[in-house]
Amino acid sequence: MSEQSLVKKRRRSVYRIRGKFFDFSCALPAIIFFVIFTYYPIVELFRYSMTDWNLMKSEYHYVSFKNYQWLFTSSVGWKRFSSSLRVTLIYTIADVAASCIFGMLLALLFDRMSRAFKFMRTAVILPKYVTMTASVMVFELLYNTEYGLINRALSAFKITPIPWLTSPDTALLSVILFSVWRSVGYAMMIYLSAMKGLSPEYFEAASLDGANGIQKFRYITLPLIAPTTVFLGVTSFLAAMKVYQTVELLTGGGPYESTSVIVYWIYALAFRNYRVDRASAVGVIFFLILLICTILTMNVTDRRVNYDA
Amino acid sequence: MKKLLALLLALILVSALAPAAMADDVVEIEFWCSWEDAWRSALEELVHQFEADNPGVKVNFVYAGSYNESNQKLLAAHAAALQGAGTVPTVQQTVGTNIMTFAENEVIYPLDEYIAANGDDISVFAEGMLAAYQYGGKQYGLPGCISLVPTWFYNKTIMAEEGIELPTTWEEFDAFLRKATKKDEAGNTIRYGAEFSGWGIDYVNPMMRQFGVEFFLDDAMTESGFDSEATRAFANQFQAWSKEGLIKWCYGSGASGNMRQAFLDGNTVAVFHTCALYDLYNSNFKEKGWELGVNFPPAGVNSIAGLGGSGFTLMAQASPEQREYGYKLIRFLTDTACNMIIIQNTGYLPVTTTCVNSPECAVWLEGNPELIHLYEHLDELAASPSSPAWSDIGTKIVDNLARIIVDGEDVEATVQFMCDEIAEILEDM
Repeated sequence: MSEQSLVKKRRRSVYRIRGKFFDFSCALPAIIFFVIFTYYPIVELFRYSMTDWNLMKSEYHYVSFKNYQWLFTSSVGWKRFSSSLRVTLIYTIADVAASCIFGMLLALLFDRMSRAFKFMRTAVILPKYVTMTASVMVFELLYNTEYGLINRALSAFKITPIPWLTSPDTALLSVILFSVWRSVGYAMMIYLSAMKGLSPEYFEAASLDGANGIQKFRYITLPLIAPTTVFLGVTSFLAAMKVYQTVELLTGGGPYESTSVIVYWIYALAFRNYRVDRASAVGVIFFLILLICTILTMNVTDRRVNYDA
Repeated sequence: MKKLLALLLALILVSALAPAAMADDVVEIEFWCSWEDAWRSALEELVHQFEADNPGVKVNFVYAGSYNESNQKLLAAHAAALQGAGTVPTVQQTVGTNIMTFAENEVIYPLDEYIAANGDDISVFAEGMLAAYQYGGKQYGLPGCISLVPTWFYNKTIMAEEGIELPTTWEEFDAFLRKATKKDEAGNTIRYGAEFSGWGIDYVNPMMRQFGVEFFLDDAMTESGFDSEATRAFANQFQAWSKEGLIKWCYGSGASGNMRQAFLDGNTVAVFHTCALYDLYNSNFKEKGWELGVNFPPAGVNSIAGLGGSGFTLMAQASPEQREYGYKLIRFLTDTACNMIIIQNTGYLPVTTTCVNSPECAVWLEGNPELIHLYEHLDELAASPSSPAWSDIGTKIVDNLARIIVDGEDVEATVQFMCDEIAEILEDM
């Protein structure tokens, strides 16, 4: 190889390295941000879970897996953990399923252009952008057993007042209804944008073959928006599993701990019982549960969803 | 040119440093308040008055959210300060039940050296109120905004019209309820004799004590005394009243607002609530042409009531200079003049005998004679147990009492279940 071509090759590799360095330096602020605010806290969370620190003492000791032992073998720890996990899963499954189903139905209903439908779409998505506290205040008034509008309306049909937030039989359902009311508009918008992106040719061909509306939905729309459903399912699932604010504001985890979700329990452990060590252990286990759920969901959906649309 | 530039730079530097040098003479302290809008301005005004009286100090008045939120922020600030980052407030509005945990972990600083140095006589404070801020023989705070829970509010007008006499003991209370309750032809209650604040342990625990329930059998608060006849007597009595439709045990989300509304609508003759709502009840009753009655709860085996509200504490990680001014602020906020302003704006109680015996208080009582029934009992206020397990135990008590009184579950089985749960919590500490 001539010296000239060697120089050219060296220059090219220098440019390539420079280019890569430039790309890396562009991503560096985001990487630093994630390392500081996401990965470092996870490592610290794990470290705290192995200590007896309560956030107040200046000194703490490493206690190995004592906090995990408490969580899985003590009667108080295991009872609360299993009960919180059960409440969280019920809430998550109901919230995600209802948001996706109603979001999709609303998207089908509003998938046409008219002034009335534009207004309706806005009305449905608006709750997502109202602050949580304001929304909760309104729902507290609606759900109130004695003075609430829902029970007043039901009394017109001679239905006895329902203790929406004060009975363990109805409190979780009330929290789920509130969450669905807030999130259904977002699901609808995502589905709407997916439906708008579907090629009309499929539907024209199906019409020529004599397919009715339900068949078109079942055999064309539904499979083609499957990636959207997966996206919504995974993101809503993770968000719903981490629910805290709704519970704190609407029920405070009650009545009888019937709405005490896992993040609420972690908060109570850390800031009401001052057991940051135990709260960290629960946090680590919860993180692992979320990680496993995400990996499983991604694996299953990768195999079963058609992304070609 | 260079010289001119250097001179200009030097001037800029000097002018920038001048205010900083001046600011060095002023000690900055931070005061974390937990009062909502309606009352906060009164406290903020007092703080400004303190600043005017003490030119060497600047007080940053910060609304730190509810008591829970304020504690959460305080712990975060404390943890950061332990690592050498950030600062903590100098003074915080603190609930008495946190004193043991905060003192044990050196989050708060004892006031004793400042009390001694200033020659302050703290024996003028009501005994129970002062005790709520003591731990390990040290005084960790002073009571400032103290309420009596539960305070017994009743509709004097209805009682006078219907010849209902005021009971003085829980035994007499039964007759009061039977006279005060109104039912329709079908036997449904249309007006309760009384409604109780069953949603919060601070309201429930004094009534249980009045029935003779002892929460802990040892000073270290490791052995529960709930598994007793007194607990069962309390639960049986309230369940019986509730089943008969004589009382309403308010529990769960929205319970406080509903109870308040029921009283203002005349749907109950009496409520057991906090004295901090005196002003609200009194002004609404006046509008309706009713007269409000206020009293200490009926006496049982014990004649005590609970202590709500908050006091003022000094943070251990504030600088000695800040703590010195912080203590001055605490003394300022708890002296008679400030105490009276707090009382008049909120309905909270006088915290010292000096305040109760002051001419200002006499004038206040002339306009609000009912309050004398509360002020006579200031030494009978007892704090909730200052145990880190109390929050969990309290939830178990409140939940299980609601099961018994509201849902009508079996007393023996539910009390036993509650005692087992409490024992588990204590064992777990």
